[in-house]
Amino acid sequence: MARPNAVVRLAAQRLTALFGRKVAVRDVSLLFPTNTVTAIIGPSGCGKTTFLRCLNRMHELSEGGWVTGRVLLDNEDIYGGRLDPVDVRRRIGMVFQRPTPFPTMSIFDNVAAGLRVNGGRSKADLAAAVERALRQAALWDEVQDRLHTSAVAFPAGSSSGCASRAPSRPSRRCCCSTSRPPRSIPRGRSASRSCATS
Amino acid sequence: MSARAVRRRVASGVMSGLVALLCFTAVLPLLFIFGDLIHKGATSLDWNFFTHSPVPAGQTGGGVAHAIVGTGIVVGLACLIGLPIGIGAGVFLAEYGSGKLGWVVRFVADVMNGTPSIVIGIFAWTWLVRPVGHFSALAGGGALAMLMVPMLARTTEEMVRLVPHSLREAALALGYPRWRTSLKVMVRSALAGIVTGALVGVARVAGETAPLLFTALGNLNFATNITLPMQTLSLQIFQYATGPFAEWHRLAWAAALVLMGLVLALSLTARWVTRQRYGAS
Repeated sequence: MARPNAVVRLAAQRLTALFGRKVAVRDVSLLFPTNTVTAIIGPSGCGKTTFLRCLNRMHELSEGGWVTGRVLLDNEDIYGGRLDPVDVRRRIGMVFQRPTPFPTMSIFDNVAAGLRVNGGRSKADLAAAVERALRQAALWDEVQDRLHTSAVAFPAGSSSGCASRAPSRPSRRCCCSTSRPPRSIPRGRSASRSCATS
Repeated sequence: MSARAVRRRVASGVMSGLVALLCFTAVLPLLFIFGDLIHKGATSLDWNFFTHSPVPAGQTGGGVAHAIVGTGIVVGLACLIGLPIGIGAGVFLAEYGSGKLGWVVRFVADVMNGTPSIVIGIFAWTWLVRPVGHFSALAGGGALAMLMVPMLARTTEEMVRLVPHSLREAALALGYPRWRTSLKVMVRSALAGIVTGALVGVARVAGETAPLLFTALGNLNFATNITLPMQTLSLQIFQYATGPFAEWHRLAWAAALVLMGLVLALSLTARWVTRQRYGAS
C-alpha cells in the first residue's frame, strides 16, 4: 500500500492490547506512512477502536487496559517509558466516534481547548486558528455569531446531522492540525473516522 | 372493550390512586408542621423580632436578632471550615479514590454520616471546648463542619461521578494532564451539582441543635466575638421552648418559623441553581 520510499512516522510493532487477561487485539504490526490515509475496517467489536486507542495511549485509561509490543512515533517507542503519555496525546490527536463537546465551555473554548492546553499562543493567533478550524468544518457561517455561547445549546439537526457533532470535531481537528510535530495526526483521525463509518 | 382491557384499566386506576394517596400521606407531616408554625409563630413576627435582642424574662417585646446573626456566623464558620475539606475530599474520592486510601476515606465518611450529631457535639466539646476552657462560636462552627464534611464528600463524589466518562477521555485525548482534566472538565461540569449538595448540607446543619449545646452553648445577648459563646436560632428555640414563660414559648414558635424559612430558602436556592444549570445552558 505504501510507496516504497515513503517516510514512516508512526508504526505499530507486534502490538497486543488486553483487558485484564483478555486479549482484545492480538499481535498487530502496521506502518503508517506520511501523507496517506489508512482505513481500518472490520465487523463491530473486532478491536478497531481499541487498536486506535493504543496509538495514543488511551487504551490504558480503560478499566484493566494494558498493552504489549511497541508503537513507534518518529522511531521512539511511546510505551518505552521516556515519553509522557500526556505529551504523546498532544502529538497524536484522536476523533471519537461520538462527539463530546465540553458542556461548561463555549463553542470557541471547545475549539480552542486543544490549542490552549499546549500554551504559548496569543489571543489573535488563537482566534485565527479557531476560525480556520470552523471554516474547514463548514460551520463558521453557522456559529460565528455565537462563538461565546454554550456548546451544548448548539442546535442539533440544523443543516445536516453533523451540526450536533460540530463543536467537538473542530476542536480535535484544530488540535490535530496544529500540534507541533504536525501531519502525523490526520492519519490517526481518518482511521478512526473510517472506523466509525465502517 | 375486552375483559382483559377492562381489568388492566381498573388495576392501573387502583394503583395510581394508591400511589397518590401514599404520596399525599408522605407530604402531610410537612403541611402540618408548616400550618402549625405559621399559626403559632406568624403573629409574633414583627420588626422588633428581627432587630432586637431579648428583653428580661417576664417583659413583653424583644426579638431574636442575636440568634439570627449568631446562626449566620456559626454556619458561616462551619462553611469556611467544612466546604473546602468536604468538597476536596469528594473530588479526591471521585478522581483518585479507586485505591485503598479511597476505600478507607469512603468508609470513614459513611460511618461519620451515620454518627448521631450529639456524639459529634461531645467530640467537639472534648477537643475544641475543654482545652480552651470555655464555649465558643468557633467550636460550634467546628462541630457543624464535622457534620458537613462527610455529607459533602459523598455528594460531591456522586456528582463528579455522574459526569460522563467520555468527557474525561475527550480531555485526556487532547493532551490535558490528569489534574487539569479533573478540575477544568470533571469538577466544572459537576459544579451545579456540587453547589446544590453544599446548599443542602448547609441547610441541614443550620437546623442542628445537639452539637451546638456542647459548643456554642447559647447567649442571651448580642455577640459577634467568635471566641465566646453565641446564640443560634436552634439553641434559642430549645431554650425558649423548654422555659417556663408563655412569652418565651411564643417567641420559640416565631423563631422556629424563621429557621424553617431560612432552611426552605436554602433548599429552594439549591433547586434554582440546579435548574439554571440544566435548563439554561
